[in-house]
Amino acid sequence: MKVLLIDDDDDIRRIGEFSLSRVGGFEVAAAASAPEGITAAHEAPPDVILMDMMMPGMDGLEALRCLLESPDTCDIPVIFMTAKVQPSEVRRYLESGARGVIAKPFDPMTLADEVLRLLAAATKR
Amino acid sequence: MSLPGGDERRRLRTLEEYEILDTPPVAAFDGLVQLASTIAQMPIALISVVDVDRLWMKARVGLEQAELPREESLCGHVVASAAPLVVEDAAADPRFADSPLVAGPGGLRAYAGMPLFAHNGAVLGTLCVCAHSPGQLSAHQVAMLRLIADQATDQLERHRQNLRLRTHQAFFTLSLNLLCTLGPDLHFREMNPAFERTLGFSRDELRARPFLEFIHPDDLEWSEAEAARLLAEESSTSAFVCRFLHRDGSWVPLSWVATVENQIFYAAALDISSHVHKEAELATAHQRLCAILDSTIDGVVTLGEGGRILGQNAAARKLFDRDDLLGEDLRQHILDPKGWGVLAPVGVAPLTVGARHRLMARRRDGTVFPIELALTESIGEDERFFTCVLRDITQDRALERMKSEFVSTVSHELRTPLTSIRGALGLVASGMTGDLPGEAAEYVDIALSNSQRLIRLVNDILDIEKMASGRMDFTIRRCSLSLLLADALACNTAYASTHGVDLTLLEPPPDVDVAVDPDRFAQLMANLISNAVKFSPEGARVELSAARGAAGVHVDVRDYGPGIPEDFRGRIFERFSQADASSTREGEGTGLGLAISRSIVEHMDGSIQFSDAPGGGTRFTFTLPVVESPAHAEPTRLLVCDDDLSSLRHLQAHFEEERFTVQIAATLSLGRRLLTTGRVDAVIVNLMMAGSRGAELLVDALQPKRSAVPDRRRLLHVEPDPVLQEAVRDVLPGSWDVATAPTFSAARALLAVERFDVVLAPTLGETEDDGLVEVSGDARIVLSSVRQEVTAPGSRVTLSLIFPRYGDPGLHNRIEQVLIEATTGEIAAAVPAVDSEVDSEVDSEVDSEMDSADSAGDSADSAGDSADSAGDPAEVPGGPGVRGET
Repeated sequence: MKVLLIDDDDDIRRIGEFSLSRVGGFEVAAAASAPEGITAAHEAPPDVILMDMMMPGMDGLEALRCLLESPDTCDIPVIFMTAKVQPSEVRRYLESGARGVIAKPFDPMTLADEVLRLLAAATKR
Repeated sequence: MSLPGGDERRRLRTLEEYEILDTPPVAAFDGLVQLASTIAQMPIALISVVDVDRLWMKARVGLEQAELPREESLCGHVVASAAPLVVEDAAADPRFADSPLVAGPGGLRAYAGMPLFAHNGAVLGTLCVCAHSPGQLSAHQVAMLRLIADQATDQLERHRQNLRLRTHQAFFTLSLNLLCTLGPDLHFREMNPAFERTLGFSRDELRARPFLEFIHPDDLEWSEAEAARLLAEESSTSAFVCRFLHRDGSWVPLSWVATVENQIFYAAALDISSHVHKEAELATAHQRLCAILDSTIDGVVTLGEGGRILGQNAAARKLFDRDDLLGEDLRQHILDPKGWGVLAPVGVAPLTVGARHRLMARRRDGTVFPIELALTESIGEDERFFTCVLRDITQDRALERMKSEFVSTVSHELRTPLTSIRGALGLVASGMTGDLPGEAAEYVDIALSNSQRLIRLVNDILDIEKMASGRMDFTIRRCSLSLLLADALACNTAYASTHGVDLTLLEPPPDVDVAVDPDRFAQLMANLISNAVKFSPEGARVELSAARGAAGVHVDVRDYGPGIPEDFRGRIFERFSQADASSTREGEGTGLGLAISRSIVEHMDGSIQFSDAPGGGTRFTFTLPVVESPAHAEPTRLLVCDDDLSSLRHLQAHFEEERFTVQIAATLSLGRRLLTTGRVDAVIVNLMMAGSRGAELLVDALQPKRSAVPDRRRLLHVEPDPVLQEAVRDVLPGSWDVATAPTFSAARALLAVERFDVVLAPTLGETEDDGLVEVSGDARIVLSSVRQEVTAPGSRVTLSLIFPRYGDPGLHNRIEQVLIEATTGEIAAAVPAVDSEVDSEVDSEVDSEMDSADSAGDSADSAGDSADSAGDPAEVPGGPGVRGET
């Protein structure tokens, strides 16, 4: 499983990488901004993208739109990581094309499981 | 003998008018009876007045009694017959022989009586003569008696006239009104004493000078003109007010009414000083009130029934940028249909009165701004009116937004480092980064649990802020209480058991529905349960139970803990209130849980309280209103598919009995069509049908519907003005999801990734619209315009909406109607087609296998079929060019 982790916060990125690779056993690539992440997704399409919502410059939703617009990346499932949000916002993210939402702060010990669970649920749908 | 009721009453009323009964003797009448006695040569002569039950003698000779009983008298007979009566011997006359006045020795024998008529013909009494022996009167004597009776009648009439004159004089003398006559030379002729009382001048002083000399110089000219007019047009009347000279030199305001007859002025006047004074006082009070109102910052208007503006202050005019609001309908300036609801039948809906409402209003130039409106009702002398206080809350809104943004920014800023701290600690504590020496692991655990606590705190603070500002999402749905409680039990059992607490549901909850947001209900239960668990000793139980009460359904969460300290009870629901930390099992609470819980309960129209549980411990109870099952509740729509027609009919009958709406399909293809075109809540399918291919239908049923009416409709509103965005969002019912885009390019970006049913956009520029049309996918574009006429440049631009006519109370309906029309053209067309297919296909089951085999591959085909079979959806009524979806 190849995961692309996009988050502007260095520490979170590092913990996320650790958690996904060491706990989850995923192959992890990381990007510090949405444009960087989009480029990375084009160069080496991952199996799933884990992306922060609130990032300076281009936010998660905008980045999702870019990814969906490109035929190279439109099939890659995107999971948002974002602060505790209202159900209406979660619904909006899902309607925008996200496969799932993981609330921040996340538990590094279960992050990978959560990703797998969301992907499985999305496939079922 | 008496008169019939009506005539007798009239006679008695007339008699009262004469005021003659029981009055002293009058010489004129005495002379007449003397004369009558002499002429008739009878000892007794009377002028009698006949009262209700007696004869009263106004004058008499030869008779001691001043009155006699009416019934026994011959005079009574004269009155009753209103004709003269002459009797030679009453004792020989069977009509009178038995009268005690006649019978026996000394009784009356000869009698002659003439009626005395009043001015209106009623008989007041008699002039009569009589004797104790029989006797005959000559015709001459009778004629003379008649003449005397006429004289008596004249005397009576004169008496009445005098009475009237005296009354008129009393009126004249005692009147508080000033009454006078003036000659054509405008000199006083006659005036009543009220003149002297009011003006101080004596009668002679007034008569000495012409009337006009008493008039205030400023009022003179038109007073003179009015007098001349009256003289010229006799018997017309004039009413006017002028100031009249008082003897002390002051001026008295008099209200005159005058008329002229035979060149004589008849005039009446009333001193209106006190009235004028009161008016001045009122005017001053009014000015002061206006000054207060005009210097208040809030707009104030008073409304009559129906919403017309009766009064206004300067702030109200400024608010709407108007010079004058009087007489207008306030609703014209409120563009929010909620506002029309608030104001519509002002006062008819008492709920709207007394509350504060946040509405959108519009200025003269069309700009829209938010207001807060408070209505109070007053009962005036003979009508209700409403005072409406209006406040521009643009600033408040901006502040609220800033606060909200601040809180969410802070919470985000806090969360980012917390994510790292919690994540890093989690990894270290898990041992993933290598083993820790014993004591270090302990301290890392402390750090980890506290970082988790900090996260909860941030979450709770955000919740509290959202609740306080009303931005917390509440999606209220009708839910089964027992399911909600079962969920709560399932979700919290693990947490309870980690604390060694046994969480149980005491007995099956009552089978009722409540209107709640299930997510918030879960949060509420989690708060109450974790609270109970925290205060429970290890091994204790926490019990959930529910029971119906008068106010709704009560849900209890009960623990066997130490109870709530006395000094803490008063502030238990306050924010950051926590009982003595030593009493909790660990410092894991945020102190916000109960405040949030109360807020949640209140948002769901409920209430919450706590009490000491019998046997120790605490019981938290919240009460929610029960949603009664309405008779018209929409039944569950069931689709039954089976190729065995008898079992199909059997199932249909069974489920219809159970109040389901049942559709049946004997073939896979029909089942598929019903699934894709109609609304189906549940499917029952015989897996063995159609050669064991029944399962295919289940696969279809689980596919998202392609062309059925979406449960929620999605609108993209292209509009830069957040106020207008909000206005549209407000008018649409909850079944609409509204997304907004400030610009066309933003709209294009959204349309690229999201599906919308309708795009509502301002009239498109020549260059902009093409791109929008291209990317809008299936969505219809509805144009809004500030002008009447809207040009629809492209075929996809199908409907238009004239936007700024907010004063139209049907606007919100129209917006929704137009938008719904834009989405449902096809559905309206497809429904009848489905009905006709049910019959044809069920009846002809033979060829259905073939059909189902054809279309089994692609369920989308069948959806297309049914739409096609309904004809071209573009012909569907509902607006020219509503494009059907295929």
